[in-house]
Amino acid sequence: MLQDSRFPYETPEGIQIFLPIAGPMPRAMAWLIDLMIRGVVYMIAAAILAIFDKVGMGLLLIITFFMEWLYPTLFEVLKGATPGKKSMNLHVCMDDGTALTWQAGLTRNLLRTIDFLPFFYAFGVVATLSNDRFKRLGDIVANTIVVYGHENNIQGGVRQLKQSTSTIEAPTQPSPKTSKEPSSKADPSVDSNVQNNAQTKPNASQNLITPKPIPYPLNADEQRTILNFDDRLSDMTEARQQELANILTPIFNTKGEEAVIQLRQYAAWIRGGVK
Amino acid sequence: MKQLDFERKYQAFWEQCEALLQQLENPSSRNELYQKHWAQFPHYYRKLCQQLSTAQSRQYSPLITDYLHNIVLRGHRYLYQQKSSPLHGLKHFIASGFPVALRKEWRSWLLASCTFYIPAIFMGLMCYFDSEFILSLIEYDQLKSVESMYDPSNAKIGREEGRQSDSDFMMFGFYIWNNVGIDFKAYASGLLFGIGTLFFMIFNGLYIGAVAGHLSGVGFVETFWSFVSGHSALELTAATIAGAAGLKLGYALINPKGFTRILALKHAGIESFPLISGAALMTFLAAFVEGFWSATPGVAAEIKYAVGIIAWVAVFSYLLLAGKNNEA
Repeated sequence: MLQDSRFPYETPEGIQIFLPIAGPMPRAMAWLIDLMIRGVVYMIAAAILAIFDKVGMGLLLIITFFMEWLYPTLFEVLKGATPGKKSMNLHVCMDDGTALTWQAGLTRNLLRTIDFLPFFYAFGVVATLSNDRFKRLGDIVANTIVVYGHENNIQGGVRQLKQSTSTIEAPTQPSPKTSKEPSSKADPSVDSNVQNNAQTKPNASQNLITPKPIPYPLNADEQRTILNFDDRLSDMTEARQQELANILTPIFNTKGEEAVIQLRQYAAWIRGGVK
Repeated sequence: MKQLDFERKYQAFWEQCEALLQQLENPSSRNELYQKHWAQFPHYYRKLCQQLSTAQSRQYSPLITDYLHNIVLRGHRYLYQQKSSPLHGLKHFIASGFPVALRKEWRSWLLASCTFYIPAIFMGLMCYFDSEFILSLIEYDQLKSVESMYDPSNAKIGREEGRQSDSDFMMFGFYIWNNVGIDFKAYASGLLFGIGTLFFMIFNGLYIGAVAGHLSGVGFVETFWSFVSGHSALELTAATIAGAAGLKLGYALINPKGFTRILALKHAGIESFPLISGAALMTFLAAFVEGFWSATPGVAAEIKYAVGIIAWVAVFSYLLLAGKNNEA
């Protein structure tokens, strides 16, 4: 069986969607970040409320109560993730990938008490590692899972796709759509990487890609491999591109840059045009 | 159809779907696109699903299938979310949801009440007749501070000596943090096969019984009982309900009744949820009473007793009778 952290779920429409389950490490990091945020809130609240003496003390206790028990619930139900989880690109959802209900949100966070036992989330970690969806005890009862947030991924995907289509018109220009991307919250470094890679692509070879029929019949998997290669070119250095393309030298009798270009031509042919 | 034709044909539609999703997810960013198309979203979503499976079955490149998969995932997440506004349901929950759910779980409630009140009565009687017996449970220093709180010579009963009325709000905060927290812990620890809940119930029963018995025995009858009478109905009953919720979780593990234990736990989680929420609300209310009424000086003890009795009658009539009409 393939080890895969993407958990399939079949929707009522009869298609499979894949939920990318998050493991204990990023969740522990998210928890630590939340802990720090809560610590800062306590300190600020304590400093301000100290002025108000006993009324302030009462308020501080109420704030402590809310931060201890309801802070994660409110964020997870209303926003999908606590600030800590958000910063680790995680979010909490129901088993079927839909948004958290109040019942589930509260239950999983009340039961955190038990996951924390006997010390430092020991029960939680053991539970997480003994089922296929990394559920801690609270998740089991509440019917919830923690998955990687798809928001960033998807915007990465959009950018790539838009870029790929925009290269049809203007091969060497960084996509104007990319820079207009509404997601200012998406990681800017990813953005610049994609653009830089696009610019470092040899301009000359861009124009040489014309669809070229493959001399041998290739099965679906093999065709897909070539498409895969073509899709991921922008993530690879030229040396790596050529290294991979050279694997096929015994079949296509091409080497180095020539091999890369030829593979891209085949990809274009499979795809039905220049990408 | 070759992949590129496919992309060209639907690109505009996908971008529109994405923009619409973005606006569905963030109500603040909605504009005329949302106005025009929101009602069409389920239709668009099904189209997207169809296009995704087309792309998959035609072995289009991962870039396009992953892209479509992500839009579909977001659409699924939005379309199939279970709308549950807590404020919308709150009225119904208080009017009938909570008491009905509690009566359905009367066995757990009865058991939790027994594990709470039997140790309390036992300990109360022991401590009433033997003023040293309480030391078997609590430290001497702690006993002194409890005694000073209810000493008739104290200006404000129910508070440590010297604390005046501006401490009302502080104590209110303390009761919320401490008492509701105990409810939550008692509930959660039901997951340890119910043992944790039993511990909380028995220990709190012993402690409360010990204090009540001891203070009555040493002659602080009026100060103690007039202080606790007002909030006791809400607070003690809420504690037993939180215990019932915890026992429900524990029992699902001990006797899953033909389900797998995980499935039994899920059911128990859903069924015990109204109980723990109701218990938390009741304890909130008790904190109000305890903070702002129970310690009010200058109110005759008889009035406080009367309020206490009315509260007990009211709480139990509510829990036992509210929502009777809705019960099938």
